[in-house]
Amino acid sequence: MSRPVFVAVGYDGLRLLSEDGRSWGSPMLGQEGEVLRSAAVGNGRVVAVGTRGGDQVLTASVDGVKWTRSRREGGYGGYLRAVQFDGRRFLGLGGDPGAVGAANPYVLISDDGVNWEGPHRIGGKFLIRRIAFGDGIYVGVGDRGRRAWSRDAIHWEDVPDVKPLETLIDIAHGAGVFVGVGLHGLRWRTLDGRKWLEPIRGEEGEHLNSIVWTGDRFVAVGLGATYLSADGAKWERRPNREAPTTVCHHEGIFVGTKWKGRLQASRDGIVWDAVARVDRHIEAVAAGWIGSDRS
Amino acid sequence: MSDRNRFGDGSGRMTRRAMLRGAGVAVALPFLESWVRPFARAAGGIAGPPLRMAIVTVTGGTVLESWKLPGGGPLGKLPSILRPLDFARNDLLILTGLSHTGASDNLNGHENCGYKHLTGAARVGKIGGRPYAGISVDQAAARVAGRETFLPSIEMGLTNHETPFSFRSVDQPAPFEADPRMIFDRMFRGRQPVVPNWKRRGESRDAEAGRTSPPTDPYDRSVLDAVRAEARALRNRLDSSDRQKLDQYLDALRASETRIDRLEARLRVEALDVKDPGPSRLVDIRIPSEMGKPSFHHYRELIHRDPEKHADYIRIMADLLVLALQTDTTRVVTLAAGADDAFFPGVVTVGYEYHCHTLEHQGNADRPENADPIAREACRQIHAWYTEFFAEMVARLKAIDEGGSTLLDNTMLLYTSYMSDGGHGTIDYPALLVGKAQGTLRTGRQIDFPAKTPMSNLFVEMLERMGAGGPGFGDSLTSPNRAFEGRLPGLA
Repeated sequence: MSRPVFVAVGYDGLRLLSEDGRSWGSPMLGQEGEVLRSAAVGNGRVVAVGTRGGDQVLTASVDGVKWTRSRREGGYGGYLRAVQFDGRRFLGLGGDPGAVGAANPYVLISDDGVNWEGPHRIGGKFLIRRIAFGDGIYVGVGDRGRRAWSRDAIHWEDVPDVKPLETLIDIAHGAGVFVGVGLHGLRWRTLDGRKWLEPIRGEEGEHLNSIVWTGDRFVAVGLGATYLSADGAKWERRPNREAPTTVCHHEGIFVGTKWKGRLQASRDGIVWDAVARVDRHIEAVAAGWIGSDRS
Repeated sequence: MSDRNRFGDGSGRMTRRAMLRGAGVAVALPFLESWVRPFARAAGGIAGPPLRMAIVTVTGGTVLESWKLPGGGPLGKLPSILRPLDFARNDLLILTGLSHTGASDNLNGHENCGYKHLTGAARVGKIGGRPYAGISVDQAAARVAGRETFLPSIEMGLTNHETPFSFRSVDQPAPFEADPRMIFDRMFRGRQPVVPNWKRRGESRDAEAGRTSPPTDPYDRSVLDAVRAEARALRNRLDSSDRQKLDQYLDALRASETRIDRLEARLRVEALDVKDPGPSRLVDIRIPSEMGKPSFHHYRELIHRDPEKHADYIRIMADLLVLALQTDTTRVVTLAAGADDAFFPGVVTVGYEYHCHTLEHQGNADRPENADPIAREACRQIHAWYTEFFAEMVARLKAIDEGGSTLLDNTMLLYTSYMSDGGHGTIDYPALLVGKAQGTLRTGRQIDFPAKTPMSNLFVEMLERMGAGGPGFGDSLTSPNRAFEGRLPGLA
């Protein structure tokens, strides 16, 4: 029996779960100093990854109650920064964010969030921070303007001659197009990860930190404005207030988080309601189906 | 504050017996020989409040394009990092182009910047692990202004052994105190906070009282006199080696006496202030108990992880700075704000990294356009955040009436960073003077100096205004980039 789940993760191994994005359960904590940086939901389970000191922390649960936690030595250079679900597998993304031009980025792969394969070194000077998957292609965006594409998430080809000023923070796939977002309202789309169409600039200071595909539109949430588009080409700008810095979407509900420990919910990505608060910082939110018969 | 640290009787009066308990500290302090008479001069000879100097230095360099305007001239819309100071725009003087270009031996990037920061030394480094640089601008000012106050200077904040900004001499870094409780105790041990009545202090009768009142504890003085008489008698019976030791002892005793005399005079004047204080209200310092539980060291770790704690801490330290200047506890304060090792979730609202040091490095490159823009924007957000607290402090200074002028009017406040940028840069430092320094600075402007103009030139200007001017400071006269004969024209 599967059920919808929203998950929030953060400092000191914080994990919080909700079925509707508004009513949240009691916070669960891990070890002091453990920071869960990212979460993903897929294959009927929740997976969260992060770091403690120089080590990688990986944790997974099929019911949101009992968690399997593992630790991998990261050697203060193999920090695990993100986990994403591609519809089939979990992909862990990491490297050394502090090493300028020598991030040594890698990908970890797992079906269940417990047993991980890798690290697969993916080349390049800078981290890939976020990946979107669609039409058999992975498109990744990362530091200093890095944009790359892959067919298997292991072997990547970089877009040449990228400019740091065109760095994208997040990326989503829908309606046959990938759309990345960045500083000052930057939106940029590609069909295949190789050829990128003309970027669209927004207003100064309206940084877009998250973009999601809702099934019928892209919703990019930023500081002061939310941008909406069905195709990534034509956009509607809607002023927002108290928008979160990180957003997920599931079954018509947007959930986001912002400092410190605040959880917010929205029906449209524009008007946000404060729904919960905990005393630890929440780094990431994710949503999907948990249980045995849905992925 | 704990009663164990109170030397006085609660009225601001300090007993000689109590002061003797602190003599060990007194002997170690500079300026003792010439302390008491200049203080009396300050109490009665100078009409109105004195000029103070404060330096607030934030960590990690800054994002210059968001700190300064594209060109010099009157200030219009402020650059985004300084925008929280808009209410005080007419009190601001932005200076650009100032740099440190001295040589460096055996130092990492942070040490190099830290040693040069306030010293402007032509050469900095380590010999046998011991740092050397030059006297720093705050300590040079304290050598003069410190003669007239309870403490010559205060150095406080989160800087560490890598970045000892203040140097009392070439090879003597001045330690920074991070614990606000310790700072408060040091400021008000044996005395109570009181707002000086500068108008009354300017009247000669108080100065006379400071000079001629009998000592507060005749018994203690008689003990010292008896010790001295016995020592003199003993001296005649000693060989030359022992005489030298005895002379050193007597010198120390004399220095202690001088300090005691000075403090007595100071406390007599402050006792009059208690009865008839100046017009402003004392800054209300409330140090949260959690800052000491279980220890400040533990809280320091929290500061690095949690911007809410970090904000509380900066506010407390800023309040202490204002209180120190308001009460004339010292006229020279250096506050090191922020920490390279700190995390800034919530302050940074772009991207996925919050670690300041990581952001400093990723946010810098040979040219800004080659840096990671997300990290650079994150650095900008951090520095705008610092400026919010600095602006709160400026607002407090501006709100304190010293009898016709504000504490900000009577302060020369430098807002800067120990690096010019997060890539260990030393060229084109952020340098913002706030306050008109008693009419000696013409504010409301940005002045662009040629690239690599020595930062030491600014220190010369500051020292002159503090009455500690000289022919040069740091590398102002020796730098390969020396300019304007070691001065900064056009500040006034």
